[in-house]
Amino acid sequence: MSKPDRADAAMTAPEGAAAPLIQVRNLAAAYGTRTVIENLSFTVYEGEHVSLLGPSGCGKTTMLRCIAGLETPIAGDITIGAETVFSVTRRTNMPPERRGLSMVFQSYAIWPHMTVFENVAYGLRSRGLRGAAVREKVEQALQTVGMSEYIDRSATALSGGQQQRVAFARSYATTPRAMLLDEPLSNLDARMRAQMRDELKDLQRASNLATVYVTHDQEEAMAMSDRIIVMREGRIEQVGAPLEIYNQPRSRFVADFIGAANIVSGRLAPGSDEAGPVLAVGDVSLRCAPCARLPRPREDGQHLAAIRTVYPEIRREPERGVENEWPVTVERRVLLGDIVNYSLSWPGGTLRVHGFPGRLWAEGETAWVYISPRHIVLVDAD
Amino acid sequence: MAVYGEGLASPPARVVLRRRRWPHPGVVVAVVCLLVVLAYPVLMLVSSAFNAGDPQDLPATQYGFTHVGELLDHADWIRNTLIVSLGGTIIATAIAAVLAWVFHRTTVPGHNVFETLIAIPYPLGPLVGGLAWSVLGSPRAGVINQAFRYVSGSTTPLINTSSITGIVLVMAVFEAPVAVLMIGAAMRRMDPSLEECSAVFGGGRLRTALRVTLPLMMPAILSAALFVFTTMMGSFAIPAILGSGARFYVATTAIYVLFQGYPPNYPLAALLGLVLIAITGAAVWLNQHLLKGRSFTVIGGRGYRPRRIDVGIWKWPLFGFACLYVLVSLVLPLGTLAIASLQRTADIDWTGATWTLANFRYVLVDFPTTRAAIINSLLLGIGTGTIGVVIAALLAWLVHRATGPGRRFLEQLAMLPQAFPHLVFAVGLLWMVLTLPLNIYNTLYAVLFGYLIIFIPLGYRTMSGVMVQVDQALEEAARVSGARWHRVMRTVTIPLLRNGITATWALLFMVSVREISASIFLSGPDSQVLGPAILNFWDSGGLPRVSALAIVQAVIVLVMLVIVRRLDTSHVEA
Repeated sequence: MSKPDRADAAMTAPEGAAAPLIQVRNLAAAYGTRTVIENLSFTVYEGEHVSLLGPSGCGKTTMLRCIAGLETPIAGDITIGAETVFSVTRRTNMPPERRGLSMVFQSYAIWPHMTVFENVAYGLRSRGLRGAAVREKVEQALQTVGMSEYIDRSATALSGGQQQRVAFARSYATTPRAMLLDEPLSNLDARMRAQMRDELKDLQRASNLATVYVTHDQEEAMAMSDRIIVMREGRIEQVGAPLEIYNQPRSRFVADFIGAANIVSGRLAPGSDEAGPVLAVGDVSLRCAPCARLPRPREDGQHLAAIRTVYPEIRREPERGVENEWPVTVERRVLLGDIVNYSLSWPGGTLRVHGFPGRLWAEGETAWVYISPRHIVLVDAD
Repeated sequence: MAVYGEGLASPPARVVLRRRRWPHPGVVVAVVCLLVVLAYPVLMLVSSAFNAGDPQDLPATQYGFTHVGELLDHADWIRNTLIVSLGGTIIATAIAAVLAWVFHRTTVPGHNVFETLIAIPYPLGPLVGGLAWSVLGSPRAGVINQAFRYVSGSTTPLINTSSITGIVLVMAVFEAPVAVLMIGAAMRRMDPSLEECSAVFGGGRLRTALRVTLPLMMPAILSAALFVFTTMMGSFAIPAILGSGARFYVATTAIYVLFQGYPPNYPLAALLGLVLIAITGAAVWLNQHLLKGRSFTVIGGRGYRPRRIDVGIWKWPLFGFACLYVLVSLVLPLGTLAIASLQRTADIDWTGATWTLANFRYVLVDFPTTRAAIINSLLLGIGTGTIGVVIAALLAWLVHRATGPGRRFLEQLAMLPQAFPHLVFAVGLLWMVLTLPLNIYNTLYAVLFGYLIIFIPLGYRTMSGVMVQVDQALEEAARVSGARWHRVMRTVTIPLLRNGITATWALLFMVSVREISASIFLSGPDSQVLGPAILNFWDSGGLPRVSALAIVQAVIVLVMLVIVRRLDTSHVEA
């Protein structure tokens, strides 16, 4: 499958979507001679929550900064609403202060020389609001994030989580056209991060504001978005709803990066096609999920399939005597608490499977494993 | 994590399992030594200031307030000092704030070149600037005024560097570079997203600069202003050169004159010195008071290059301002002195037809006094650099690495001499040398002793700036591997600090070679050094020869500067 197809997918609307809000077309950005974004296109619709997800260095933050106007791309154009804010061909580059957006920075960027009130009021005042109207909006925004009693505190007297809340309040107070979030939770500890994620989700639901959320954390992306754009080395790897990306990863990279998956390789059985592909892995024949088009094989001609570790079912006895069922031996068991990781010795190699403490298998125990064909997904090789 | 509004970064957090109840023995020794060398000179000053008996007695045998009335008669000295220092500080800090912003935050071209050039005037010292601007801007003979009269036919001079305004401006121009470095360092430490955030939330360029950048930089600007003010209170060379003709005295030049007079009036000089210390002390206190609650701790963002502000049509005026500054602080002074040093007579020949190197031959070879001064200054530079680095490293190690109480106190003590104007402190040190049974007066050891103590704050600050960057865990790993203290120092600490040690050494070398305020008291007839030699020569030797000597001093400093830059880059490449 070629790159332009993916770009097209990025441009198509999700179900029941409103009008396009942010349109990025053929954007490229570079630091000096190093290209960080190549020919990137996607659309964010009114009220939609989109995540840019990828490992560090994939260009996701640069992409966000280009939308904000903090970075100047070298090619392409960006439209917000009906307004072209950046275009190389039309020589347009609107400065950030006129783009009418708001942003939550990774470092929060809470101005330490101002009080909480002044921080939240800044965007309102610089947009010309004065007096009681400012006070009212600030109070409202702080109430939304539960920080009302801190309104006159000095910003330096706040904890990390509180600074984060003030940063959200500051972003909501100006009722921007869209809100940009650059890894907003990455400076918090794990417990606080989970709590803030849920709070942010509630805020999102309560407002109708479009958000673009940059993260390297798949859980955050899953939780926060209507659509996820998976990025890799300055390009879009896959675009889709969270569950779609989880269940139908398009490439080995996506399968590896999101969730945990077994990647198995083998040759397609003779005569098998898109409608019912069968992959020969070692001594076993895997019946895989049907696909629209066979993905790109590896250089040696073998195809790859991804099997999420949560989907194989371990049983005492063979129950169906059907396809995709094999005898296995439990090689290793690692108890992690909420989940249990098994390594199974399987005719096709080693299979990693998630289990639960409620039903434990002992090391050395023999059993059967069944994998539904719809959970064996052929993916592009790298 | 960077702490604003403090000269020093805090020592890294440490886990103390069992709090040490007694100070580290090294801390005790260091505190006692510092207390002695700091308190003794100050006590000598106090003793002399309230001497009611024979003014030459050291220490005094009778005490009283007889000289306080005398001081009130000369209130104009203190008034002049305050006018010059306050005016100079305001102008220097304003210049520095604008230049630092231009170099670090705007798209004005050439900021790398400017940053390099701006680092030069400080090690060159105020003597070069004072001399050059006396040649350029004196009302009658000044080169610029002659040219102006020639071009315009006017009879009034264009500029007058012998006036108060002239002295204030020249001092401001030559003290601004340190402030540029201090404010610039704070700008580099600032999380760039604080400014970016302002832009995203609708703040234009002006609003961002005034509402975000300036307030955030205020602690650094105030600290720089305090540093400049303290330096100016103790500054000697520029008022001595520019002000003496018009009998314009500030406290430092007055103290010098009181010493030189016959009979010397030590008590009045000491009293004046104490007033200077009191004023700088008050300034330090005021600064800390203003900074209270404003030391902004900023979580560093990721390593994004700060977005530079496109200043639009202001680009070229600001570029012109930076160029003008470099011209006035560096190109004109050095150029003037270089050309003056090539002349046969005091009348400057601009054509080059009669230029000669004879003046250099004279100061380097023929004239024993200047030859000795050059050699002495080089020896002192090496001595101060070498011993000063050891002292600075020990102090920095004790403050940042030793355990137990008293480390904060030691740090404050080490930074204390910063509040003493060099010239005043040198008077106290001179009396210390004279009253102790050491018998080193009129030797280089006396000067070396003075330099070492005066430059403790500078050396300590540079060294501890380097030491806090070295992760303590690297030393702890060596301890865990079974190395004893001296082995840890030899195999881990010192190699890691090598770059910082070299930089500190070079800095101490340069400030020693260019030192003048303390040297005029500490050096005797048989221990002449460059600074006083240039000043004396300016009285007696004629412009071409004094220029040649000043150029020699400048070349020594510049060569060291170039070597340091080379070492720095070669280390980075390695």
